[in-house]
Amino acid sequence: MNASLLLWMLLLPFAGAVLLLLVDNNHRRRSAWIAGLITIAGCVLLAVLAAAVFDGGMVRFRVDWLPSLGVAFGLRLDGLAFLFALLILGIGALVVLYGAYYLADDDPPARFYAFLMLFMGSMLGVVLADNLIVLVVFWELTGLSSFLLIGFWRHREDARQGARMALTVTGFGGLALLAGVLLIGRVVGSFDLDAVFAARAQLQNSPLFMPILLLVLLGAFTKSAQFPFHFWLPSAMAAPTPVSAYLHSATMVKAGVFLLARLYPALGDNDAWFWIVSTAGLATLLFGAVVAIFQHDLKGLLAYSTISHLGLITLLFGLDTPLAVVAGVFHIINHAVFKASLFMAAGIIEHETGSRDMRQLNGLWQTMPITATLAMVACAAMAGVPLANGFLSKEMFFGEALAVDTHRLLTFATPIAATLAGIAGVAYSLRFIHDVFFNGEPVGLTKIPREPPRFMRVPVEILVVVCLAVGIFPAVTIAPLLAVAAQAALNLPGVEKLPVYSLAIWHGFNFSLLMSLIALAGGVLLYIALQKKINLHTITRLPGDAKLLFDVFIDNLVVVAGWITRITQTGSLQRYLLLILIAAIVAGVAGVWLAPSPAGSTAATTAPANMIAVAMALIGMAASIGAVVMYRQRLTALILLGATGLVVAMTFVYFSAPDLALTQLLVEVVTIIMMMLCLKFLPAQSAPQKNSFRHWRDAVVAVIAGLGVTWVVYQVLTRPFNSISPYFLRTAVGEGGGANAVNVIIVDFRGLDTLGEIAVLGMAGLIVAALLRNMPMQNTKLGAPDDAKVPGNAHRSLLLQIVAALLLPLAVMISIYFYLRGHNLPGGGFIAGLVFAIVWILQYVAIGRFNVESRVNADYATWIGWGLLVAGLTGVGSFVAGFPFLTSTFKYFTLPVIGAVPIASAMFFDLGVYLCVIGATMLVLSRLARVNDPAGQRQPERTP
Amino acid sequence: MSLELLVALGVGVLTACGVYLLLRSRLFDVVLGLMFISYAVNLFIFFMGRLATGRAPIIQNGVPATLTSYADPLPQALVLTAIVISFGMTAVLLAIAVRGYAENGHDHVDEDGDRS
Amino acid sequence: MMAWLLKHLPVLPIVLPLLGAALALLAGEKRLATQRVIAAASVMSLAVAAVLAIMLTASGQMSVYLAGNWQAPFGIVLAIDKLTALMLALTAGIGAVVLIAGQAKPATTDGGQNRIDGGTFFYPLFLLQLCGLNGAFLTADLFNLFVFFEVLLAASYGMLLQNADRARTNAATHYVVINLFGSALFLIAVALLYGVTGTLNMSDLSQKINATSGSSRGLVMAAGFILLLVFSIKAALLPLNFWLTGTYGRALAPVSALFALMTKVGVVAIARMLTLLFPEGSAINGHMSNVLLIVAPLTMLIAACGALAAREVKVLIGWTVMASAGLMITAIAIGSPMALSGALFYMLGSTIATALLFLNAAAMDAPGAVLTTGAASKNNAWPVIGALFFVGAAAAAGLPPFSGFIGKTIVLVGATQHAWMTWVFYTVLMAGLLTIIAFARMGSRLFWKRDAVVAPVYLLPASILAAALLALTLLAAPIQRFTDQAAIEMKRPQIMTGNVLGKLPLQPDKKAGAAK
Repeated sequence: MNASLLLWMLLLPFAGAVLLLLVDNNHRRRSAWIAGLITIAGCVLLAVLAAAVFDGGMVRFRVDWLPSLGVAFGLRLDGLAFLFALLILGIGALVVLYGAYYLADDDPPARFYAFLMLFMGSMLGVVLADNLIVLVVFWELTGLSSFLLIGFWRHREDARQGARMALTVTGFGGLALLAGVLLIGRVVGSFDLDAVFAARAQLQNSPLFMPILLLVLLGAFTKSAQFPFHFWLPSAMAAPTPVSAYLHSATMVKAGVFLLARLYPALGDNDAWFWIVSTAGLATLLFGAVVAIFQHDLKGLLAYSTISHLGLITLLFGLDTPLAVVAGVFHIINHAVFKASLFMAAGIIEHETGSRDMRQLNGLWQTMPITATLAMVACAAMAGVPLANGFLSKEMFFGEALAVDTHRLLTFATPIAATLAGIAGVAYSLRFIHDVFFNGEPVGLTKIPREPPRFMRVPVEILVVVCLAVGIFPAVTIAPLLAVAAQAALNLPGVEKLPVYSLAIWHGFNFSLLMSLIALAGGVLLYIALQKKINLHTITRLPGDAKLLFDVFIDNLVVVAGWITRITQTGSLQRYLLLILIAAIVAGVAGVWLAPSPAGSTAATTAPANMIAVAMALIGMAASIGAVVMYRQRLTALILLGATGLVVAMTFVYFSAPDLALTQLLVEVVTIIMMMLCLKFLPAQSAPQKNSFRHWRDAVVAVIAGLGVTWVVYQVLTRPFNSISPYFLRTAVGEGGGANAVNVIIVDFRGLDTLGEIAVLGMAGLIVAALLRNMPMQNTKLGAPDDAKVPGNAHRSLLLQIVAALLLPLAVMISIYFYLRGHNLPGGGFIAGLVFAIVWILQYVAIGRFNVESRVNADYATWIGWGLLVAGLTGVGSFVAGFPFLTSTFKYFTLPVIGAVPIASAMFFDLGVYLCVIGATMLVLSRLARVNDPAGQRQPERTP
Repeated sequence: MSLELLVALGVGVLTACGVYLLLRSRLFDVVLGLMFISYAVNLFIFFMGRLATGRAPIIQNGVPATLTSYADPLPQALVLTAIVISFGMTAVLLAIAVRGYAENGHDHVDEDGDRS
Repeated sequence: MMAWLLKHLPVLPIVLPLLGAALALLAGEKRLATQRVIAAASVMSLAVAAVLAIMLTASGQMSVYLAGNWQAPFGIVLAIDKLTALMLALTAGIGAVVLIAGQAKPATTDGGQNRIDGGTFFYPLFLLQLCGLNGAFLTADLFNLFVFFEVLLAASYGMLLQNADRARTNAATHYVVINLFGSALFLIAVALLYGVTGTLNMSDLSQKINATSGSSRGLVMAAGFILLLVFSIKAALLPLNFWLTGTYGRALAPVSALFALMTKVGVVAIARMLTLLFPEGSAINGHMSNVLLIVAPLTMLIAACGALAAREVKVLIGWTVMASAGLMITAIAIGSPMALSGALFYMLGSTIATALLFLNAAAMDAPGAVLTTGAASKNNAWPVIGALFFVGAAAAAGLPPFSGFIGKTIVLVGATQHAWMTWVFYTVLMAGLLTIIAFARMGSRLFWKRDAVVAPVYLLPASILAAALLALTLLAAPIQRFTDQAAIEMKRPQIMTGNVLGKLPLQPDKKAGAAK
């Protein structure tokens, strides 16, 4: 029951956010109402759950989330969580109300409240998390949603910058926190808080403790704006004031100190913690307090005072004594209350006067006395004046500062620093009051100052009342809440275990009281002195602007990034290829190098090369090297390439691979035709490359690659070999139904390869066709094409026509013959298809494209389609017989001339290949033939 | 010189020629390079089944179905596939070369031509 | 029917799109509507097949298929383990979204409107792309893997060149040349492995490789490293990643979205190498892991830098694709079951996020966009686009509540026991931070500095993807359970090997039986 209520309390704001995103921005009040009701509902739920908490119990919700990580989506509502939830929801409600009056007409309220709800939900998640991973998740979410909130006035540069800065700094902290949490998980073996608390000793003795502590604290300090990570907070002031009032009093920054409080039982109570946390806190406390005095912007002053107070709280946790922790928790509450009210007051002033600059705002006491009174009380609390809540926690703080005796140096340093900070605190509080409400007349305001609308002041009034109530009757108002919260922060079994402390205003005349008095008196004196000696208004250069440093850092980061990018991304294909080549060579060499034993040849019997072989090799090498030397004369290079191809074909013949030889030969022919057609269009010579270094470099790489390959081939050839192939030889006839083992492999054993292969070929045809269709010709130097040579053009030689005409039927016969015998003798669908295509293109040359295409269906794309379909269906056909894809079946028939022909299902498959090859080849050739044939460009595609 | 060394050298030379042309700056030359490389690769695959002369893998009756009496058919089948694929891809690359020339007015492999 | 489906399940994801492509071709270019129906039908059937595969594998089974009814290692074997099932599902899902996005009618620069799928042979190429991807995920044969790589590459050339213009043609020039050379290397590696071991089936290979005597080891290792290099090119690992940003950035948006899968093929292939071909324990595995543990994290960092320096949103996205690949490979190199599981989980999220961002980016700079200041008008897609960008960016940058964060966390947890933990933590988190900054800068510049009025394009598919991202977080428990099992399966290659090599063909006297 309670558990589900807890879950609802968390889900409500998110639901609200979604709901609000659907609301039209034009209904101003509506979105405020939705947000308000959601928040109040949350408060109610919290109130319902309060009983359980104050009985010293704890409300829990748990559901599996990432099982194998041992991460359950766990929520826990203990005292600490309760306190924070109360602040988040309570002050949240007030902020919602306040915002309704603050927002200007052109600010989209729905978006504002949606973001606010999103943030509220994330904060609740952080404080309710019962599992460190879950905590990190919501932690990052607060970062994201605060990014949206701070950047709400997106048209303003400073808002955008502030948002980015907050996201960057806190995001950085978040990642550090994640790392720390993961390390905790490694040590503890679980991310559940109870487990982590239980494993305290284990954690603190582990060698990883230092990194863990540092990473976690990095997270906490960045979030709570501890020096030197404080700078994002002042620039976050570009946010609308309600946002500042929320983020910088009760929530965002408090998440950092919450983390300290939450993990204190696990990580606290040791020297490392003491030194790091207390020094960070001390530095921040002083730094913030001093800088705050010199701000002119109201919110700037409050921002730095916030930093200072967060430093104070951090310091308290750093002092590392139970009482200090109590004081810390207490000050968390008090600061939240008075700082929220002050921000709101500042917002009211800005809203009513149009300015936040204390050099303009003077003497507002006359025009807005009520606001002034409220602000003064709040300021008193901030300064730690008796009867205000701030006084009590400050007293406790001074007490603790005095109690530091464990470490000699700090025994004196802490109290003194504390007093100094107190003095500064009084001074800037005083400045706030004096500068804004008194000190002469307003200077150059755009608006006539007046009291704000009634309800805009209500939130401030409530908060101020709380300030006083807590300040005057602490025992009745705050004691129980503080007790449970502190108990949870110290992870004590029960309230009674808490150290003894008293919330009385009067402890008799003791040192801490003296310090308070010194602080008050000193503060007043300091402020007067400053105003008299150096008029604060004249100070223009504000100290402590780390923001600039950050900007510079980011800018440089981007510069460096761009620099790295330019190095890796030169945009030069040649460089890329060179890189790949070198990588490949390295890979190969490394492989051999790293081998356990050197790959020396196990010299198998090597046959001596006879003259034919040597001659063949020499011709091939000569041709290829020639092609390289003459590569700029493209036609020559092409011819030499063809020659090389022929030698390769011969090699296949020589080493008993007739199928390969045939295929190679035909592919050679078609390829050469293709390239010739391209050369009709491309420059006949390739431009010279001056850079001779490049030539040499490439040559060296090429030679190395060549040697590498040579070495590998030789190594392999001189090794004994046993492979799976005998199986193919054995079963080709019996089960494959073909004597030509290669073809049987192609259409049967490895039919799937062939299927893919023809798919590739088909696509190649399609791509070429698509690419060369209606090309832009304007860039090209192409004049009227040289008609005679362009296939598919006017006047042609009669002889050629006759030859072609005679050749056609014969060639078709041959191609069919190849197709049929393929299974047993060299041949097959692919070879047959190429033969057909070659003869066909000859027809183009002879009698012209239009004549050819008028005779047959020249929409070769559909041929490809048929090819794929036939091949695919043949494969599927075997499903019918209940066999796997492409299972072949066969039966022999004897035809005249050709002899025994297997009518194998493989034949149909091969038919698919046949069609696909013809389609693709013809598509490519006819397209290329048409490139620089203007008629071709105009001629539309035919579809059957 | 042994046959093995000879063919090994042959493949090596083809590779070297291909690589050198591959690194040229004009697409057509690169295509030439890739052609050479595909020759080299095809022969490479082919020779991985070792050398066999006069033993085409066309089964005759009575001949024992072993690698001593027949050439290894598997690499041959693989080479066939490889040849076809490289054929198709060459066509695509040629088309790209033509189209690129039409688009850019130059046939350099990089968009903005020589930047030296 | 069901039994029949399950019996032939492994081959369906290859055959269905292939036949679909054939039919789409036969329908002819003019009949776009018919082609759409065919494509939709194929993709839907693919989705069904994927669901079946998930269900089948989730029940602890593995589906092995002997194409042509030839026993391994002689014939080509297809196998569905959990990893394959996952990839099939992802492919089908992205395919469906691309299908929807293909219907879009973005305004063109010349003011007119032309449909994405109105491009040349869009559907045949699209379907063959899916066919190639599925084949690459399914096959258990190394050379067959090469073939399917070629299928998906050829298709990707065609997809990249849809509505070819100058930019796309030039992008294609680099992309195609590099990949052709990559294919040559692939062939050399495969052939070399065959030359030493005399087999091509991956399971058989890994056994034979273990058996290779010392002197042949060097050759095997060389082949292995070259293979790794080839896959690293596909996965866009440093220093082989240059092709990616240009290619992805310039394609049509739905095509880029589809390409979000392409690097994953390389990633999965590398995963197979390190778990099946050269499983843990072999010397080469150790060397490869170390190399990858240097290269992959560096890839992440460099990619993050690129993202930070990117001025164009599409380029930024391209860099994040690279970074995500780096993270996954890092996890694979770490090799602990947890890290592998994290990598798989992360893969789902990052692929979807990338697709979303690409579609969204296209919707953003649709030429119709009018820059305005002040409040935007009604039925303006701009705010929605902004929200979608925010979601996609958060997901890609690994911020909660999206799956990127979860995947990253699982990977890091998987790394905590590894010797290189510190290095991995440092690089992963640094890259994450840089990516966050990059997206924050880009986002605030695109959506805060200015206001625009754009007609809605791709909103439906993009929203679907966004929903999917959220679903990944909410359903993290079951999904992670599945990826965990997948990882464990990968760590036990003997399961795969046993199933693949143990599968017997139907009734040995099949030929005689079927001949009648």
